[in-house]
Amino acid sequence: MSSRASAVFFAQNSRAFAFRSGNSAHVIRTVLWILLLGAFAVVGVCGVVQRIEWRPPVFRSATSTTDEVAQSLFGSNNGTELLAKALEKFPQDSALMVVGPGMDWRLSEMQYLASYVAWPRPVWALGQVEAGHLSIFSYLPKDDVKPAAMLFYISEPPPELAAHALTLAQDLKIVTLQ
Amino acid sequence: MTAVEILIALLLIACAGFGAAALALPRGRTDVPEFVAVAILFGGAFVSLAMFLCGVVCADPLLRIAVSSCALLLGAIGFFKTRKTFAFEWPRFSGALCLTLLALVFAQTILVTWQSIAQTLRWDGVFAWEIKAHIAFLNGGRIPSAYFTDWSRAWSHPQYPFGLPMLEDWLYCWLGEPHQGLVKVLFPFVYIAAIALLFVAGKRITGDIRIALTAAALPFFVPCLIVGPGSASCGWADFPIATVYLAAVFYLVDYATNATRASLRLFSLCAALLPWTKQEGVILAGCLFLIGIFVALPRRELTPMLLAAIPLAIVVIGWKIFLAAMHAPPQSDFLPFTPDTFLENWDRIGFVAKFLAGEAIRWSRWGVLWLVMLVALCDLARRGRERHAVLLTATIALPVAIYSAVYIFSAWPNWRAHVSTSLPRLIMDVSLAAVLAIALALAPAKTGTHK
Repeated sequence: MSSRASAVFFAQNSRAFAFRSGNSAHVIRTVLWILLLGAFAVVGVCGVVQRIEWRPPVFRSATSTTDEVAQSLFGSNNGTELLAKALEKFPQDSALMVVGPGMDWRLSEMQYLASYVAWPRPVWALGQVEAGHLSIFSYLPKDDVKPAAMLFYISEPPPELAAHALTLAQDLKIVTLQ
Repeated sequence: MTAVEILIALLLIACAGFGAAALALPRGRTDVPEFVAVAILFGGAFVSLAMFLCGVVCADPLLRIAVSSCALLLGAIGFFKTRKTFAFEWPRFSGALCLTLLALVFAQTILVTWQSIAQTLRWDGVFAWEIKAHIAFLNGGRIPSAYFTDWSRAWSHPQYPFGLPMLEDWLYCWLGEPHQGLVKVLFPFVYIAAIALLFVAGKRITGDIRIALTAAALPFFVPCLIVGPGSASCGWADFPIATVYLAAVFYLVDYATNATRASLRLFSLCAALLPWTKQEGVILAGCLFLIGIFVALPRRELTPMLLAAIPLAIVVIGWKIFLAAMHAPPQSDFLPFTPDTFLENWDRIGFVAKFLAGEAIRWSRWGVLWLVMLVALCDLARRGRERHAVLLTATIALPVAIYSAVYIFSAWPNWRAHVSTSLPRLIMDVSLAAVLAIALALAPAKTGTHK
């Protein structure tokens, strides 16, 4: 609708917006509200159009969100299934540990994803940092817990464990400890 | 078969909602949009609460049978009540403006539905809310006590209310599997409830159906309400709590104007739903009752107003007792609310105020909602609608002020990050009330209230 057409449209229907009186205050109020609503509509539509996602429906996949997270973390297209298969062999009461860069927020994301998939197994996070620093993304148990497996995310297992490591994705390896 | 199972799950929610709305709404003439909005909100709340409570004593399939029976029973009660005492009224639309606005309302509903099925649940949707439904489903439809004592999953906020997760769990129980895609079918209904409430509020308060339709169409022009994190289509609890808050605000305004028992009853029930929807619902409900006391005092109706807080108290205290019994990890985002902490960190308020001002003019997120809302509230006050102006200003400003002040007690080492990641979503809670304020400002100065 052009601006002229819009003006005519609003003018024809101005009673709806209480512009019944002919005095100047009401005319000014009418014009101001038309301008405000016009700005409201234009700015709003611009914002909505920028945010719309043009993609196929997600309801085809039962794990669409966790797959999306896995894709962004370690580049796997079916990351949820990959992780689930790798973790299902561990007893349900065994703990798991995600090891990765201690100052990288993606360590937490990896821990959350593994934790989502591994229920009811507890999943902790151990952040690797330089000596003297404290990892802000570590999530460690209060008591001594011996993990059944360690997931090395964007980090390599130490040499003594490297032989037992199984590569799940480019940035993700799993080492069975027990 | 999947479609049939989803349909059954949704129909049972609708059945419970029908009964709950019939019991809660006043007899006589009833607007269909109001009945639909209340049925969606109360139906969802009833099923999630029933799933949670029945889950204490039984698991799926018995759990599903129990909740389905309750829903059917409630629906049957509602059916008999509406048949005898209700006269449903459909809104009548005529004229070019009405039809244009109606088309806009339909278009935005289609857009939200499409975006709901085109977007994933995103981060919070899956790791704060859906994870609870996922775990509940794997435990026979009920949330296991082990979840609350599992410190390795304390990041998923076990102390958050289970309103949304239990509703998702209900769908999963019928589907037979957790499904992060199909669960999105629930969310367009919340949007329908929101626009129906805006329509009813506009019509009830101004008496003009064109203003009512304008109110329903306005959310279309607030980008973050339609698409993106926290929006109606993304599957988080932010938009549902904004909708429940809008309902509570509307019935409080209605009570302030018409002083009916029905409006107080509906206000009471909507306020009680707030803390069951999202944790900050306690703050929102507290603000509403504080304002409600100021409304009730001059009329000497303090006792009914205090009695109206009983459902809220039951939900809040019940949830606290439950969490204590489950030994759930304490909330770790905030320091103790002590005078010492306040005095130590009060200078944070400058940053929060600056951030809030910046957020209000983030056009890509909010459009010009907050700017136009300020004009609307001033216009309402100027034109002798002080009561509406004061009530709406209080219901919008008070929660925002408390939300802002809460960051004085933030325990995050980088408290600025805490502000920037959560405050924009918190102010979404009052955004639909702001939309209502704008619509009411468009009304003729001399229209009264219509009931």
